[in-house]
Amino acid sequence: MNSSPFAADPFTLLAAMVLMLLIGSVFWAAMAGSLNVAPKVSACMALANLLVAASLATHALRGVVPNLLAFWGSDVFSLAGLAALRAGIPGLSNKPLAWRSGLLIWLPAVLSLACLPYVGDLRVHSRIVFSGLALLALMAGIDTWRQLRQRLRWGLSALLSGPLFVIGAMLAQRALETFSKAPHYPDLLDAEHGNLAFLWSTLAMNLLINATLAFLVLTKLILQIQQLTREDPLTRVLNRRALQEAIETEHLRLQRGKPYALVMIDMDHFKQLNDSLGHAAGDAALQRLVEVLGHSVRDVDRMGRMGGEEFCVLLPLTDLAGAALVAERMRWTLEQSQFSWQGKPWPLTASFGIAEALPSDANADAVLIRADQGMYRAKAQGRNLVQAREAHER
Amino acid sequence: MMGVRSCPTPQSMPPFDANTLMLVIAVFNGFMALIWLILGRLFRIAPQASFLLAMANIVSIPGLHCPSCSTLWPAALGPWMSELAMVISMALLALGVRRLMRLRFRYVQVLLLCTAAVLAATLFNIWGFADAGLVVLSLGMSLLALLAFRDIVQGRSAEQAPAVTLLQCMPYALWALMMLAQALSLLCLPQSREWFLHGDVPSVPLAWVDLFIELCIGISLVGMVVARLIGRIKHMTLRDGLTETLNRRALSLELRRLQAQVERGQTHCLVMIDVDHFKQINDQHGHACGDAALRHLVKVLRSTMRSLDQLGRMGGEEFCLLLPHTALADAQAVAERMAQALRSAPLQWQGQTLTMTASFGVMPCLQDDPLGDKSLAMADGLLYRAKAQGRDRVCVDTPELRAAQV
Repeated sequence: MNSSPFAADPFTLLAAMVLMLLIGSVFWAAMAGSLNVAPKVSACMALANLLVAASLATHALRGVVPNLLAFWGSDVFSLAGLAALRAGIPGLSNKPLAWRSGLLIWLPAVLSLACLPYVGDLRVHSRIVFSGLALLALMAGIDTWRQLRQRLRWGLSALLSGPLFVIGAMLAQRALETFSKAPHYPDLLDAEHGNLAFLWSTLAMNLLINATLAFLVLTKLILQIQQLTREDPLTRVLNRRALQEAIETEHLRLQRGKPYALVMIDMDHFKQLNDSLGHAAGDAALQRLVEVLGHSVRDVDRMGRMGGEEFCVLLPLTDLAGAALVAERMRWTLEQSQFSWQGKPWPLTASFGIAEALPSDANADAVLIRADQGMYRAKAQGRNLVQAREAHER
Repeated sequence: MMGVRSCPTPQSMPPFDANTLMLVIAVFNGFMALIWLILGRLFRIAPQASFLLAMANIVSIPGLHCPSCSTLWPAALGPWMSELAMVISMALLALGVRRLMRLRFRYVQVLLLCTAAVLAATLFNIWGFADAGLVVLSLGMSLLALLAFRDIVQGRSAEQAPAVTLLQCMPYALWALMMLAQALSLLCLPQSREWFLHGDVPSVPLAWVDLFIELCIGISLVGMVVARLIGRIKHMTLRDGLTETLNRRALSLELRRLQAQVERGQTHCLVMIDVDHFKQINDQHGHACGDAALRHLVKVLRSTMRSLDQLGRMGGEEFCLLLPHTALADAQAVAERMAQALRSAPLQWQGQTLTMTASFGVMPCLQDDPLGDKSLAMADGLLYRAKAQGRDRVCVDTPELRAAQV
């Protein structure tokens, strides 16, 4: 009995890995096909699993299948597998596949391998194959990291893209290893200790790649759900709940001497627009309003839809005078903007109410109510105006 | 135990090794345990189910591959003690599946089955009937796998394709069958014992099937979690977040479907509903009260709806009710009943009683109106009529009214 707990029969291990990869491939194909989850990434993963399975299977069948397939073919498949993985990564952000950079590594590697005879010392082959694989894994890792950093915190991004870097490092180490080794002829069916360690680490890598990609897809879905709970589906600005949360957070900062102001916006004559041109026109007008007003909003400002035709903008570190400037610019740009529905022009204007948070305000609602009252005042004074209600007014 | 090589394979290929396969399963299960822990703890997805499934995977490892485990217990207990771990793992898996499928969490049945199998097997082993012990354990596992099978069939979502359900159930059914066959062969067909057991380790075919099943179960359960998230996204994109009624997009899709049936001679109706004096509620009691009022309205309306009827929010305080296969007179009765129900169920808000009323416009779905725009506009007109006549009333389409509107 072998003393190592991981002693195993290499051929069976390879066969088991092939089965694992094939089932993984079916899983990803089902994800792409029936569930339509990140279809590009899933399709690429299905292909990658299939190619790696083919690479291992052809290697295991040395002597059974033609030599060209068992040697050169096996390397071609494994490189193509990681190239497919790398190509699929941009699909996580619904961007086009990065097949060019994958091809740029795959093609030279495959061509140079084709020129080298597979006899005797195969260290040069190993160097080409593993440095190619390592590069592809590294590129996938960098791409994943970049995409995640746009939406996630530092730690979570590192945790989710980390495995790809680890795999890249492991593959690079395999390429470097050949420099310290005597000329050798790698055969995965060899039962010696070093080869078994190699096989088990290959199994671990395959599991890790699939799990990492599965977690990346899950992260994508969870972020999508978070967005849906925070966003107004029509205008893509924050919904009322999310904006109120943001205002309440800002109100807590007020105690530390950070002022903020609110601009309440209500579109004028929206009911008439809806009645005369239809609900679809009303929707388009709201979208146009958000588009136009969006130009006057800074990155730190938050815009949200309070319901119906009512919007609110939170302006951190802004006083009443600053809010008045922003609101007046918004009012003017909206008045100047063009809107027409099915050829019929409709003048878009809105009434604006502004309010500044004061230390005497018990909660954020008090500020909101004041902004609301300013807006009503603007409506009462003839619409298309900016108005404020002073805190001391009764 | 290494080197048990027995499988008739072609000359050129080396034979397979059952121990290696069991080791691969053990490694895979250990990895899956990690995945479930990350899913449950870090991603907070189905934390309880994830924990149970992680435990099921961890417990299975000594049962699958533990070369030195046999020294842990007295030899008198027989060679099958490691199989106990498999039964416990199967029980945890069945519980995890039940939790994941959001079925009522009744664990007594699973617990009893598992305990009975473990106790009986241990007793048989002590008495020296090692095979009888294995038969009991196999039957126990078979029944537990069947329970998981039933839960997956019961807990499937309505719109799931039958092929997907079939794929999901397949590993459990296969496992139940395998274990049943193993028990039967031990009981009455001693000559077929080699199909399942080789000495005191599983045979190569059994190990392959085992690997296949474990891979399928592990991967398909992750797939189920993903499918559930997708379902939630679909639900959210079709529902109004506040009232859980259909949003405007989903409602117009439904209306389009009904309008297509109108062309083929079906009679459908739609009711436009608008809360009376909603602006006042909002201004006097705040937005939170307005939200509560809308939820209350939906609750009251729902109580008088059939399962086929669809309620959607058009925006603000305006709702639309679709009544498929309903004549105008019946639709009017529905609207009257809703108005009455609303009147008699006032909203309780912070100790105050607010009586809510609404105005209704009832309209049949028109012919030659594929998008339903015309029908909706007419219903809207009737609604305004109801508002103009003093609110809290139902206004129904009549030929005279229609002539007046056109």
